[in-house]
Amino acid sequence: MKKSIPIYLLCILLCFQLTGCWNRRELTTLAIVQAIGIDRTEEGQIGLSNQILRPSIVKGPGEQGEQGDKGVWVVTSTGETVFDAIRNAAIKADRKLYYPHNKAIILGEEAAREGVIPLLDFLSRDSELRRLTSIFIAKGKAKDIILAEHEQEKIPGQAIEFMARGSIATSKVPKRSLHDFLETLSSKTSDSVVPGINIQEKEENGEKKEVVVLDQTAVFKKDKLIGWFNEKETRGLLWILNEVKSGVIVVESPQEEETYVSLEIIRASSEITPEITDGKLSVTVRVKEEGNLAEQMSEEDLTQPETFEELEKRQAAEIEEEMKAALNKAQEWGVDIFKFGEEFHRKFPKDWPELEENWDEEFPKIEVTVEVEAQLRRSGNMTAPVKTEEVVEETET
Amino acid sequence: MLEKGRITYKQLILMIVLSRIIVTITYLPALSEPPANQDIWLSELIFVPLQLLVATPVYLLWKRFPDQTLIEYSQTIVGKKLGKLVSLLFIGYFLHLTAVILAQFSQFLTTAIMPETPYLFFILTLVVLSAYAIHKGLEVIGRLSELFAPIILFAIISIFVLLTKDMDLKELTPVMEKGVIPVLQGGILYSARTLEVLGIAMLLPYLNKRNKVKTIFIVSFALISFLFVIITLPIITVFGLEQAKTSTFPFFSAIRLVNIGNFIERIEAFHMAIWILGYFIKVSLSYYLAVLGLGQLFNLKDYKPLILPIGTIIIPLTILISPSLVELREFTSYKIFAWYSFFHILFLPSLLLLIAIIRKKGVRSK
Repeated sequence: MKKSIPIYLLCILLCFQLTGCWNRRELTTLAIVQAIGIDRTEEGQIGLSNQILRPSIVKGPGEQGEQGDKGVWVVTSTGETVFDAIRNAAIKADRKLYYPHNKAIILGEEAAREGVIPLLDFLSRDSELRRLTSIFIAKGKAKDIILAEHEQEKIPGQAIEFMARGSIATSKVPKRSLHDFLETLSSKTSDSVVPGINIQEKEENGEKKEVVVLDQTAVFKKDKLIGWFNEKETRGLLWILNEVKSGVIVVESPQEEETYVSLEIIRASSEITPEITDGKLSVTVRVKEEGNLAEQMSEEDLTQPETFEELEKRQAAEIEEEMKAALNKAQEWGVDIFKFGEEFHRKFPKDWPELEENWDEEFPKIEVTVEVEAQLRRSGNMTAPVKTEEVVEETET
Repeated sequence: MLEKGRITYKQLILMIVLSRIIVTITYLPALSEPPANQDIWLSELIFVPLQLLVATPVYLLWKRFPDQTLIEYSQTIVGKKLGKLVSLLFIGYFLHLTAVILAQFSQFLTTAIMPETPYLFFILTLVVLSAYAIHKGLEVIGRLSELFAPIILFAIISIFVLLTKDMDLKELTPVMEKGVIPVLQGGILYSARTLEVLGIAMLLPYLNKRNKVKTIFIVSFALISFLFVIITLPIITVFGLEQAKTSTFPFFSAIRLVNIGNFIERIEAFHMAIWILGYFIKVSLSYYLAVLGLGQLFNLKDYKPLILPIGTIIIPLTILISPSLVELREFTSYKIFAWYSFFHILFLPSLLLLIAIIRKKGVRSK
């Protein structure tokens, strides 16, 4: 009997474990935030929009949600700081806002122009938010993006995240998480880029509709937005950063004018070689690309050695043009978004302290040489294109 | 002898290693110490010979007094009264460090995981658990380290593997940007943090076999250095040096970046599990050293009556020394802590050794 007393005691003690943690949260008491948007109001306050999941509407596959109901609702609030605004939102929401499942952070353009570091501090300091969350800069107000609806997904936050993931297929928009953004922000010389997000009006079946699209790239000098890169310049930038994974290069057919050929990018890699000669800085960017002939709109057979070679040349020229567009604009704006500074730091650690001091003046003066080695490998399931005459012959026999 | 249990040399090595690396997993203080750049991993490699150098006095003292602990031979060397004073310094150091470790433990949990739980709760739970382990004796702590070590090592290595995908080894260049001296400084500072050197000094007499003492020193320091590198590399190459410097818990933040195919992600719980096991070993070890030391100081027959009283001293002490994370960080920064620690792990043992040589105490090496 005496021996069993400790066991009984242990059993009683174990019961206390069942109550769980101190700050336990039940799913039914949480408002799961799917996306947050941060703006600056006209009075200089922080305007926060939280997109909150409505689990009763969003149901599993097979079950039908009520038609016309949105999968989320949006709570907006203002405050002197981001955290203040978040806590102020709690007054308006009936449940506690819960951030670990946040899928997207969207910053308003105006707020970004005034500087983003004050806005991002809370997001990286608080333990509820995660650094792998995708980040975007809205053209206009972040609130509008948060409020916008999507056709496919019931949860806009998730839709935005999927869009960012899907954008790899074009390599026309960079993909950036909060962590990536903070990484370039904390570098003394490198500047940051963040994908832009915008609402475009579209006509569909005679109805006017608003669609959210990933659009252009926001370029930052230090932590302030200074301008936008278009699709061409963005891909030029991504070539240099070695971030092109896939995409389509459209070139003119060598046989016919004004007809186009699509070349699919299969793989690409880049190498940046910094050089200092007589105190002058220069950089050589070498890009190696491999592509396939994916589509041709002309009727000529392009899979001949000469034309294939010509296509390769045009492909290389197109890549070079894209890179030069990005380089020219970046040097004009004085933003080192290519991480050239870090390359100089690695190769010339002795000269670096001095260079780092004057990097803002040095960067625009760097002479950049671009070398592209583009190859075409395969031509898909066809060699020569379908020709109208041949089709006619076949039908006759 | 006060402690009747015996441990194997493997258990001692694992105890030392787990106890040493656990701070690195949490805070990685190395980030704000020289060299404070991408050369940290070099400092961590050079740490092995430097740490061996720092531990030499302890080793030579053991050679002279193979059957005595640090507390006992202090009294043999400088006489009863002065010896007790020196011993008190060591015991105070153990006590204080137990409090510092507990404070770090609770600060991490309250900051990163459970911000609303009162931090006294964490301290209390851990102290009670450690007190129980100590009550069961040194052998139990030894076996626990043997039990936990594979789990902890496996978790650290798998985290490293999961992060290799995102590693950018370019971040490690330029190598030795500011020359060799900061790298050496770094190595010395890391060795200053190894209070476990005194742990070895206290526990060597309790080994079941005496022929592996050199192995203990070399293997445990080499293993520590290896794990340092495994922990630091992902922090520098994945999380980024500049960001890691501003991060309170760099390794924890780096683990939060694990994302493989949007499938393997949010694995911080891994870190939590190994981390609590590791801290349990660390607290048990330093708490045990304080209890054992005090027992030997007063020539008690048994140290067990001291466990609870010392526990009740440690808990308020923990709250007293760490009103906030900021003050705790200030104290554990290298500018203060390294000197404080060097005084105990290097200066005092060297002084004892010198006096022992002059007064010709102890056995001469065979």
